Amino acid sequence: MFKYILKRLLMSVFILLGVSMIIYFLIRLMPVDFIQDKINAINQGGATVSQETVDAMYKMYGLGDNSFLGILGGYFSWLGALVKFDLGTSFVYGIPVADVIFEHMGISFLIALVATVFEFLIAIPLGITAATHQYSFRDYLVTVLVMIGISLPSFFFGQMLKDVLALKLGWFPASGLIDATASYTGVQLLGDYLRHCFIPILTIVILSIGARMRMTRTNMLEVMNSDYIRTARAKGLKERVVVNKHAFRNTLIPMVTSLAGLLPSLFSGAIITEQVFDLPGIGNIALDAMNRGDIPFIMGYNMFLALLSVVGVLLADLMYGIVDPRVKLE
Amino acid sequence: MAKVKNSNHLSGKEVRRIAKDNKKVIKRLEAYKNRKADESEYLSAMRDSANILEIEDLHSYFFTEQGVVKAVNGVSFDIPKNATVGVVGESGCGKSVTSMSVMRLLQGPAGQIYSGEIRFAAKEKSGEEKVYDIAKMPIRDIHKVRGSQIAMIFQEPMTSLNPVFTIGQQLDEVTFIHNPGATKEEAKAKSIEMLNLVGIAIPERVYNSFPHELSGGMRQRVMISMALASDPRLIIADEPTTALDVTIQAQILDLLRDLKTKIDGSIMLITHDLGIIAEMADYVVVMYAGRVIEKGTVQEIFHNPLHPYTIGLQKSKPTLDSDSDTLFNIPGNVPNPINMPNYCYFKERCASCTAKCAGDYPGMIQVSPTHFVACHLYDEDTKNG
Amino acid sequence: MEELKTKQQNTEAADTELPLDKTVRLMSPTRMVVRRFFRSKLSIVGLVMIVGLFLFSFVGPLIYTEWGEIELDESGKTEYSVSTTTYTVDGVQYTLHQTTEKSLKDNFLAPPSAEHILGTDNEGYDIFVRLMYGGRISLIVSFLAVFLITILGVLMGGIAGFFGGVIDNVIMRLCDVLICLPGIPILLIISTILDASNIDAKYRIYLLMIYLTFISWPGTARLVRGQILSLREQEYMVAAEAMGYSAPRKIFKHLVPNVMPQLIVSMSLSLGSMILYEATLSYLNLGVKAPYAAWGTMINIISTNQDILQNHLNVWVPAGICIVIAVLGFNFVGDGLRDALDPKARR
Repeated sequence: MFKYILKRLLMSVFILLGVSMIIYFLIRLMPVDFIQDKINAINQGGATVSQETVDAMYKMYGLGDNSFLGILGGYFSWLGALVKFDLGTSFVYGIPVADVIFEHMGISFLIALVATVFEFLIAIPLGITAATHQYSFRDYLVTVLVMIGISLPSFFFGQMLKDVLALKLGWFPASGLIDATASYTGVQLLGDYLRHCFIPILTIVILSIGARMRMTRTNMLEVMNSDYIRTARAKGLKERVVVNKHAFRNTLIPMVTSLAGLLPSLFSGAIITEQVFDLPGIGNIALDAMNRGDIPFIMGYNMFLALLSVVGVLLADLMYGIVDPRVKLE
Repeated sequence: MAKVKNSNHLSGKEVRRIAKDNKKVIKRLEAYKNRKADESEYLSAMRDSANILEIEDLHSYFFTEQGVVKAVNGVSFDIPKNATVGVVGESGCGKSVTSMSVMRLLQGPAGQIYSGEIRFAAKEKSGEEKVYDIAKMPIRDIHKVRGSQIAMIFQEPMTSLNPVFTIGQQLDEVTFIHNPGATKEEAKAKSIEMLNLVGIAIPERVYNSFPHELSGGMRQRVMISMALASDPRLIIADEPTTALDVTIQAQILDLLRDLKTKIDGSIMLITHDLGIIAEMADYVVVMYAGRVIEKGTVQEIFHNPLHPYTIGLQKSKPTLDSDSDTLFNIPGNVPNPINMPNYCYFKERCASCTAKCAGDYPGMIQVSPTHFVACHLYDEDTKNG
Repeated sequence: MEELKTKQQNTEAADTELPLDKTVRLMSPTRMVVRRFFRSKLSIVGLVMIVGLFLFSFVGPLIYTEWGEIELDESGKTEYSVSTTTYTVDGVQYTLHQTTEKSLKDNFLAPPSAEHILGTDNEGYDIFVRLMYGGRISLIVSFLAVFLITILGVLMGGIAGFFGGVIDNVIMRLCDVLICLPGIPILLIISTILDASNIDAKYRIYLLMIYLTFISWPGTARLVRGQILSLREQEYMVAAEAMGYSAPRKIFKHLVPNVMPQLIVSMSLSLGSMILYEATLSYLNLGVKAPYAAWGTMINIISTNQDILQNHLNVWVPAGICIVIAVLGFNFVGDGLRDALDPKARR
């Protein structure tokens, strides 16, 4: 077990190294004078990028020296900083990139967490119904609905919900996270948050139910055809118990595994949804930073995402060993 | 288009016709299966009160897109009380489908009992007997017999236990189904007792293990103990030893034989191995291509086999005292059960085929009070003439 | 062919003498696949959607030639604005209504009419025609990307599976790395690089899709590799090798029929996701840029212009519907194909 975890950890480090190389290569493709243009634009936009910040960045990435050794040296100096969780200083915010990420991660995580909970709560029963009534009208109806969900572009569907629920009906605020005209505190503030997050969460849930439901259905169908389900029926168990206990426990294995894999990605932020509803989440911040040429932030954000997905894969693997009694991690 | 018609493949029109017909029949049968019905609708009476199970003219079909597969096509036989009945035949002859039909475990919507009667004498808690026609029971009432009165042991011990529950959880469950008032301790005690009964040395440890931690033979023992936990009147063992190696096979068979006397019930033993039949069974039913071709007591079948197929089966059994070095085999294969002809299915493989065999499918001919055979060789007129 | 015919005639003549299993007529494999595909109404709906979109995007502009992709309707437009001023003179209230007439060169935000079937957008382009051109870009780009992903995936997976050992290890670790690369955020960086390099607006989207190809091939590669490895395990493969047959050739012969079904299914499903990617990129203003049309670009305007979002549905809703139809169509077809080609799918 320990040996396995150690091996997987080493592998993860290796993967992160690979990812960092690619990201570093990309930044080196950017012309230096273009970076300077962007910095000038940010300065004109009101923020001030101090010369120290820029110099620090040049030093960190080893920009300017385009010889092979220069690039190599630049990569390692950047890597050295990364290991110390030093992602540089954001041009736009003027504070360390890591701080910007942590500051805006919370709201993204909250939205993603609530959305994921609802996604599982809705998709799993739907998937089970569709599987136990395979090829029935119910199966087709559920399948068609969730397929439409999968096929909706988030920006289009989000805008539509915003147009109808917020602008036309006025039930919910259209954008932002708090009502600027009111000064709420405590419970009221929380309620205000929830009102603002309702449509974004709804958007994410509807778009993501489909894949989860399909996954549940496929797993369930596979399990329902297995020998041990036949045994359970032969014991004289009611069909309800066969489905909800014996079959469900087995479909839970891939479900829990994927949940563990999902956990880190909850922090990564939903770029499009946050942009549509103008939420100050990490995704929207990253989009804005990119448009304004905040290179340190974008580099940091990409490494942050890569770290999350590596941890996700690792967690899913370990979880598999915990949930499935057959699997011994070697 | 004439070319298409002659080919070995179905034409589009035929495929559509098959699909349409299937849909209609399946819809009717599924509705029948899922209906709500009063008990009186499926109460029946035994022809002979000495029997525990009487199967009469059972037809179980699979409605596939290639056509209707008549896997069980008019099977009739009885299982007397306290007897072991061996059902023997090549793979694909419909012996497993027969047992699945008795358990009502056919995988719908394709697999359905099309017609026939499966009469079973169930013993109520009060001690009186009630005869149910299992084929007519709605699926929601099937728990009256399935599991509690008839238990089944499957062919694949490796996959027949749920991998995510411990043996104990799966065994206790049986007790809880049939005795809902049982406490956890009672259920455990019963489970341990059952594990003891099937000769498991350290039942406590097995009780807490997961299926994957046990060997194939151990798992089959667990399956048997699970079948026993509800004190069934009839145990259906579907090739219980096929997946096990030879030494374990013998142990499991010994176990089954012991158990029959212990539980005072009947066993329906399905196998393709004549040796097992000879050792275990009191009565033998020989099946071929979805039909019973010969049935009788074990002495009759082994000492006086009548059907050319049964004779062939006997000959293909390896024996030490045989002069020949090579094993006898019956030429040809079991016919594909779609679009069966109406003459004897064994005709093409039969060495003693007569002109009459091109005629109708032979009926059951009684040769002794217990011995029946379906072959034209034993027709009254053939024998006389 | 001739020989086959006589054989069949013989078959018919000798019908009564044939052993039982030869008289059984089964469905031909092709017919079985076709039948299973069309058994689900959804596959038919999906097919109709895709064919319809293809005709609309590629044949449409040839038939409906009223407007071009980047042809402005310069017929002009007169805008009236009314301002009201209230003032009080000697206790009497006066209201002044002032109407301003403004003549503009472009006929923008025109409502749907005979001239413009779906009206014009905020610049004065015909929306209906731009939908067609947007469809062209979406379909071409996603087909290209899926084509490249498949080739690259089959190649890399094939190499990894055939050679095994170190090569396999290197390729699989590369897959691990690529799978952990972020999608859209890296596209943001690449887009900036493209901005800096002054790439023609027309070709940006192709370059971005190349990146998507680059991070998407590991899925296909793993599929192909897994298939090869499981083929190697098969006993007949071992037997073939023992008898001195060349293993690669054998593997290839068995690989194609084994991996093709899964490959076709994954291709049709990834077509849908590539269309979504393209639309998202265009929506973020990273992909196809003005004045060229793309479905995503056509929706982009509402993120800055709330008036259009609320009051000019004809500008953005049709593009969204087109995206949904395209993605849904490919998903339906992919699902139908999976049912048809997967031998495990039983009814």
